Amino acid sequence: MALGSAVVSRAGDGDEEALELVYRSYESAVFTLARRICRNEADAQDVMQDTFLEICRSITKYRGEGSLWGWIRQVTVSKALMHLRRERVRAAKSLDVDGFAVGSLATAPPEPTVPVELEAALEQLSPVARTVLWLHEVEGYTHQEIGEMMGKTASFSKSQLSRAHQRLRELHA
Amino acid sequence: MTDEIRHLEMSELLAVRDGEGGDASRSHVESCDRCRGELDRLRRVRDQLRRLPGLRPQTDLWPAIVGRLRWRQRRRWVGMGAGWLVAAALGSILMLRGSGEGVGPAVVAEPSQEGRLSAQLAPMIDRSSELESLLATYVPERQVLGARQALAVSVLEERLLLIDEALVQTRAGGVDGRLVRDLWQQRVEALEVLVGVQLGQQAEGWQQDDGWR
Repeated sequence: MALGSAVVSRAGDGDEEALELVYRSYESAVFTLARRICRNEADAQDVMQDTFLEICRSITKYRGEGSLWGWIRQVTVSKALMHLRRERVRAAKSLDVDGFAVGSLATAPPEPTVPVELEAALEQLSPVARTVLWLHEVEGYTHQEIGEMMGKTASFSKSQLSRAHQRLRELHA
Repeated sequence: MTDEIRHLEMSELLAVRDGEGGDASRSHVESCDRCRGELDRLRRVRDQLRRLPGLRPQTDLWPAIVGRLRWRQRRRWVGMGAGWLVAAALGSILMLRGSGEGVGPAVVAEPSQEGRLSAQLAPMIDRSSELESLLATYVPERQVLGARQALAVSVLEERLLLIDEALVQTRAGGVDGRLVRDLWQQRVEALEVLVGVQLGQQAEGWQQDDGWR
């Protein structure tokens, strides 16, 4: 996935061919991260589009300090959290403070009677719990970093991670 | 007195797994099969999560992204050009006024028809300018377009680029006045839709606040 500095430099000059090369190189990684945070494919596509617009516009800011993916990942997480926050505001009337649906129990997924695949179990977590789980367990962010990105504390992140694992244990034996 | 064992909570197990647990938690895990088993399970889940396959979007988003990039570049050019729109509009009107000199059968030759076309053109140019001003208030960073909306925006922007290129070419003269009028009409229509999509979304996006509360 590593791109040469020449490609990054050309991309910074607005060379569309180089920008597309950056896009193709990180397309799957960005979408996977966005999809793990977002509720559905369409939302993840929104985040991906916004992420790459930002990357194409700001790639000159990347000066080769740290990995290119590290920078792109940070932009992706930022955009995904912004999207998630916006979605939560829209759905505020049906969500409680921790992000679990209340008042929409009729539409909540039924309690599984058999273990489900991990992928499907992830989908059944609340967006916030899933986000914290993914950022910590897969992307390797610390609770402190996650808390800061979400405007919360490290304790909030730890609490959400515990809830996510408890729920996963129920769903995915 | 009872010797009931207190097993570790999920948060305590995760802390031990991540190397943050206290001495008491770590020593408990060493002596408790149940908690040790749970700790192993948490490690397995983390490994399974990391091994999940990568995903790709169902549609190729690059065309929409590059379309928006070009639009940004074009708008920068428009800004630097200091009113090419005014120049194009003036060119259109002058071209219409000069069209009575007989460039061909399609050219408006009758004064009344020429006057009618000019009269039709003026409000279109005004409206176009008004819509451009509205679009100038659009802040892409403050909104996320849906995939379909982004595609629609991309198509509209490409369409506007083509219309503008055609309008610039008409300034050379020798063009059917009705074509100029139609181009301006199409420009206004495309801008109307674009403003609706972009500014409608933006107004919605601005209502956001701290969504974690």
